[in-house]
Amino acid sequence: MRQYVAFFRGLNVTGKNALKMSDLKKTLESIGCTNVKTVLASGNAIFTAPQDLPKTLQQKIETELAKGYDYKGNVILRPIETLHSLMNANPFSSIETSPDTRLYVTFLPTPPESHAIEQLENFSVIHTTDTEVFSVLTLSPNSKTVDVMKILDNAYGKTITTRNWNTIKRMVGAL
Amino acid sequence: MFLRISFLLLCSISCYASLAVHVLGCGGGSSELDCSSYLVNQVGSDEYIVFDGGSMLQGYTLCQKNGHLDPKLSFTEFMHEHIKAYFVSHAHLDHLSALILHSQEDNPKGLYGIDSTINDLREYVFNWHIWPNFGSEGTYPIGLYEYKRIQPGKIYFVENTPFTVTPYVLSHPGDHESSAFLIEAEGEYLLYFGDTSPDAIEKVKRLDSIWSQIAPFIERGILKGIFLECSYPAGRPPSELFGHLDTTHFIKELSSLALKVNPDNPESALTGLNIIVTHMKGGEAQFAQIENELGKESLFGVHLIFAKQGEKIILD
Repeated sequence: MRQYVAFFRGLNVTGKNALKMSDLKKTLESIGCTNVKTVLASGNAIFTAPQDLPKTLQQKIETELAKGYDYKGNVILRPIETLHSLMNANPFSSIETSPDTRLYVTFLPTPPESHAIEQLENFSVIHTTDTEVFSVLTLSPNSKTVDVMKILDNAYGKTITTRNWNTIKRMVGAL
Repeated sequence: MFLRISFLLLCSISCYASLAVHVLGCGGGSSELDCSSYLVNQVGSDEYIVFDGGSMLQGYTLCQKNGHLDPKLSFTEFMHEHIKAYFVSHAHLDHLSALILHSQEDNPKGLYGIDSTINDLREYVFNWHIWPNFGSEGTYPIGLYEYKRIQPGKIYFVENTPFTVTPYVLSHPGDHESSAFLIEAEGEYLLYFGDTSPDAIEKVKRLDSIWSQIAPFIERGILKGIFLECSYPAGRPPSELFGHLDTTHFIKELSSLALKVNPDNPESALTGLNIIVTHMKGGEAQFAQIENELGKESLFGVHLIFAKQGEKIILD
């Protein structure tokens, strides 16, 4: 048995991928996951799973969600330790925030060929790893969340998923 | 441009679950079956908060029929399991009557309002004369609803939900107060107005002050929608507006907002902003008149939506 964290792309952002968190929990339980907790409604789950390889598990989850709920996104799985290491590393620790500041963590399914990314006013990538991109946006008329999501999709493809740093903190709080 | 359809989906890329509103009731008090009540959640979440409680069961049943809510759950079960709090904009019956009647079947939760609203509930509604005192103040309170007195301009976390709510005071009419609520989840906002007089008639700047505060939210793309009342078509004298907006004042107020968002180019300052028209009074003929008067205007680029009972509106 091993504990995982799962991030679901595009869940509940459009009607096409609308899924109740209670149904997500049931689906994970139906394939043998236990101690399932969901955090917020944007597709974040923590659970214990059998010893399957993560790739098998990921496919199983995606298949079940597609079958049961017509979910067309993808799932990014990480060992639970990822949450702890993210919090410990905290690449945002030196960032001075205001109500307009948004701190984002983007999860990549595979290491990218490059981290080249389009420029946007008031937006910067402050740290990258093979599997995560950490970025900061200061909201303004020309720099909105939607602009950043497009830029990240253009750079890393449409199988990534991004979370606000506050969401990660809430997940750690739910452990 | 305007829409009046049973399901609205307004979406773009985001990393947040969208805000959703189920319209339990949206009329202006002309029909007991369709009075103001709005059920708000994040798409996918089972945690709801209710803004005003004029008609609830009728709208809930319609939402079930329209496939927006679980058809297996009775309204009582839904109240118990999923409604986490009520926010009441003011204590007029068309914003309150269903909440009062269903209170006898409800379970404990918070009831939020500005002081004047809570005072009215305590003195005139939940007082053992009109109805048992299910509130938490006054004579022999049962305490089913814990009154949460909220101060204008302050941000309140709503327990067991991802929401914060900030109240603002409105005029309705004269010295009587109503309120608006700025609702936030994960950095995305929705603004809900209870009944309101135009600033011009009340000689105040209450709406103007709200517009000043939310203009930056519109510029930054984080305000996803405004639920604003428009009770009457144009042409009524001020003395017969009874503390409400007509189409003329509705447009004037949007103009004030547009000027704050972009004084150099107000004509397109509100492009794409969802404005949901609520609280229309009268019957179908008057509704059509209001829709025509607002629909023929460009209205600073807004995406105009006429609320309809039983509808689910997803805002993104």
